[in-house]
Amino acid sequence: MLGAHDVELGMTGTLIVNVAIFALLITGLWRFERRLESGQILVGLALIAVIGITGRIILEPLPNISPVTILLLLAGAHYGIRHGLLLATVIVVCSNLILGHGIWTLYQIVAWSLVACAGAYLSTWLIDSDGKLNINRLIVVGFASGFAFDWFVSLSVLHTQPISYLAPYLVQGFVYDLVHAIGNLAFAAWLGVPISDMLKRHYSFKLEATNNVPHAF
Amino acid sequence: MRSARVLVFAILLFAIFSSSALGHDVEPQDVTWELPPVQWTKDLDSGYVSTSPLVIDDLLIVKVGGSSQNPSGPWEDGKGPGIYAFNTYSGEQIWRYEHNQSRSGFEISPPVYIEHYEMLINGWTSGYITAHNIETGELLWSHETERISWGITGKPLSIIGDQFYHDSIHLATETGVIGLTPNGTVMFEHSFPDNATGYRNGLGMILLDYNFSLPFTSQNGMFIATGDEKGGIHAWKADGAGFTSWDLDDLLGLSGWKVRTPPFITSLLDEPETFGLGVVVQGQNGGEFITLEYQENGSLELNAMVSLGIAPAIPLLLPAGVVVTGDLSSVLAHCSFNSPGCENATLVDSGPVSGEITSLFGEYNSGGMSFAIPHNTEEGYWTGHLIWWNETKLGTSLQWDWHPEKPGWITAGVGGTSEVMAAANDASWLEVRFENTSAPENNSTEIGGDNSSYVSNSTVTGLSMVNELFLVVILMVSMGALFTGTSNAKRAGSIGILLVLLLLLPTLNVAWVSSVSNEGEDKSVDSGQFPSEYANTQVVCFEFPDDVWDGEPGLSLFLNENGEEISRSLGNQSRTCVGGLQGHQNIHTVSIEATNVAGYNYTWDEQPLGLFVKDIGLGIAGDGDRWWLYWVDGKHGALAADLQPVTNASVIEWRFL
Repeated sequence: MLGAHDVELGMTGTLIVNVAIFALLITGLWRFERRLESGQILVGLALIAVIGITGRIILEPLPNISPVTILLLLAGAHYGIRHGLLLATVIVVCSNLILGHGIWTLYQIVAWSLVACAGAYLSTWLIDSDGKLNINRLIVVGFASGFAFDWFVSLSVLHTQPISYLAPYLVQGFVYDLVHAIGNLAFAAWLGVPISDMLKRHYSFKLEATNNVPHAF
Repeated sequence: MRSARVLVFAILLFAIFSSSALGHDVEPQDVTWELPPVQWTKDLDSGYVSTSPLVIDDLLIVKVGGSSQNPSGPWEDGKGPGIYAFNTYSGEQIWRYEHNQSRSGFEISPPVYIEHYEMLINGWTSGYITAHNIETGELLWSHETERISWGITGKPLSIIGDQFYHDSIHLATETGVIGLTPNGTVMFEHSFPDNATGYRNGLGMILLDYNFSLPFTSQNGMFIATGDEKGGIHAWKADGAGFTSWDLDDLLGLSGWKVRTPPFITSLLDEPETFGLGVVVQGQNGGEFITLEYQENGSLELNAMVSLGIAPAIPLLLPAGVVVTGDLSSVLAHCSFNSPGCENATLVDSGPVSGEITSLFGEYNSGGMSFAIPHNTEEGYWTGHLIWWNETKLGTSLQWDWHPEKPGWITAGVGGTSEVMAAANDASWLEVRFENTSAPENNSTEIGGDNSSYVSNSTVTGLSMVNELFLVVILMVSMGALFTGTSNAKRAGSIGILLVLLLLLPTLNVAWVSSVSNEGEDKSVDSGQFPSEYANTQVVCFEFPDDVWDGEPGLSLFLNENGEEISRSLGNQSRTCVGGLQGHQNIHTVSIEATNVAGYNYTWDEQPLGLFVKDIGLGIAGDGDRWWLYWVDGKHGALAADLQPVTNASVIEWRFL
């Protein structure tokens, strides 16, 4: 039996394989989700978490490119801050089990939570009254979030470096930040509508007002 | 076989062709041989450059005479006589050899490259002969010959691949001639008679008693020849046998002749059935271009003599028997066709020319044979010329003149081809010219920290023009698609922009990081404790926190390139330094050698934007949230280790923080 464990793909080969796997994952989850009943918010969150975790791991060869920012923007826009914070924590903790855990984990959780908060705050701007996503606005917010996220996480260097180190560090990392922003742009274009539709299908509507409802005579 | 090719080429030098042999397709006055632009320069600051640089594909070899503060003082550090090897197209220094045994301040024996052995042969005024690996500069062997005043000053000659003789390397020493095998073993030695010495007596190939009816091989009259300062001409076979000498005083009837140029094969006047020995000699009243005929009794007789000016230069031998000579007054072209146009020499240019006239053959070949002349004035310059046979006489034209940015006297010829040229002067100033399309790839590396060198870029990204244009088009189309209304167009546009960015990411990152400096964390190099052996070499220091340092806290160990301890001291830093390293171009390779010498483990990870150094010695990446960072010459490094260039005397400091 031939063993393929020692096959060396190289950077390009690894990248192609990983992108292909991620595409298959997205397609498979999408088709799976379509068969589920609507209104199961946990399902929606779970699917987002799976996409976020696996996407971050599989796309690790691409520097600073992952779908998490866009996913959390949409999750925050559709489900609000609370669910966005939960999602950010789960995605970062689970993916950092593979990618590496350290002081930066906390900063990533906080930064992505802030992204989810931004999504929630801008929900009516991103999603119209019919529940339709404005893709252009998502692109703009996603692009800006890329820089904002990176700058926030960069604050973690202050644990080992003086404050004077921060500005040059941020300046030198500009290209990385640009990659993150452009990646968000691409994910917004490709995943924005399907993810948004999926999240919308799994709203669980609970009527809050049970008192003071006029009886019909 | 190389010797067969040499012989065939030698025959071509003096074969009587029809006028169409030198013909050209277009009128010369309608063809221009353009001087390519300067791509990079270097102030070698290492004394006179007296020989033309060698251009061997992407390797450029320059020989220097050495620089010292005073004539009898020691050579300045790193500026001694020796050899520089650069990348022809980027100007990056590949290796450097210093031959500090030489004390003369000039080196005029041209280096010779033996392709079959990938070997560079040099004769030095110290009397030494050295052989180097052309790629690495590693000294393969050296041999010392007798030196009275000026050692070896003439050009060597090699016989490689001949069917009758073993491979051999021939040189004229100050007191005789020597033949060596490619591995440096002496095959033969002959001394000049009458205690004569030789100066600038390069070796040439001649034919004596050549028989037209026999096959053209090295057995058919091929000899190697040279001259000496007493008018002696000497010839021997490729194995050193048959050493024979003649005296110009007897041949020409006067005394005081000096042979300071290589003899060569030429045709004889009114003797089409054989070949003659040509040589440019220096007499009491000026130079002479003489042609000698070999007689059956073994003697030489004067066949022709053309007067030249004073202090003749090393002549250039061109195909079809054209000889270009130079002296203090003029540069002349001589031909030996059976034509009235060859009765008098053709004036090419004015003097003074006392160095090497060099051919610059290459892709340009439609307007005549191309060559360059070094004009030896205080603000010396080179001129490029074409020469052709105009049916009845030689025709020449001046195509360009080349004035170096830093002026100086010039004896060194232009090296290279008609498309890729390199030249240097006595001010130790080197210039390299080529069109960007001549380079194998458009490197846009700028050599940092050296204000005397630069590389011009043809494209922003370093990719070829076509590829860069293609990427720009994709980028423009993608951005346009992004702002259209349809979602499919946005998807396509976003992917296009992302792909372009990923393709350009390494180039962009290097360019961006190099253009911004991290001023917040620069530290001055603490080199006060460095041993003197570290001067002008590459030094790598590894600083460890006390918890991962296996020695006495605060101990600094200084090792040489062989791992031997030079010194140690106590202070604030726990570190091991390795110095005396040379020839490395980036942090990564010099660190590999340094860790090998110091006995440290060195591991790295290949990342999309370069190599990420993980572990060095007991410093393991991530241990206590600490990682290896480097500083080069006091500046905090921001590039990946394999992308950060270093100079010959860089100090690299690795710190585990």
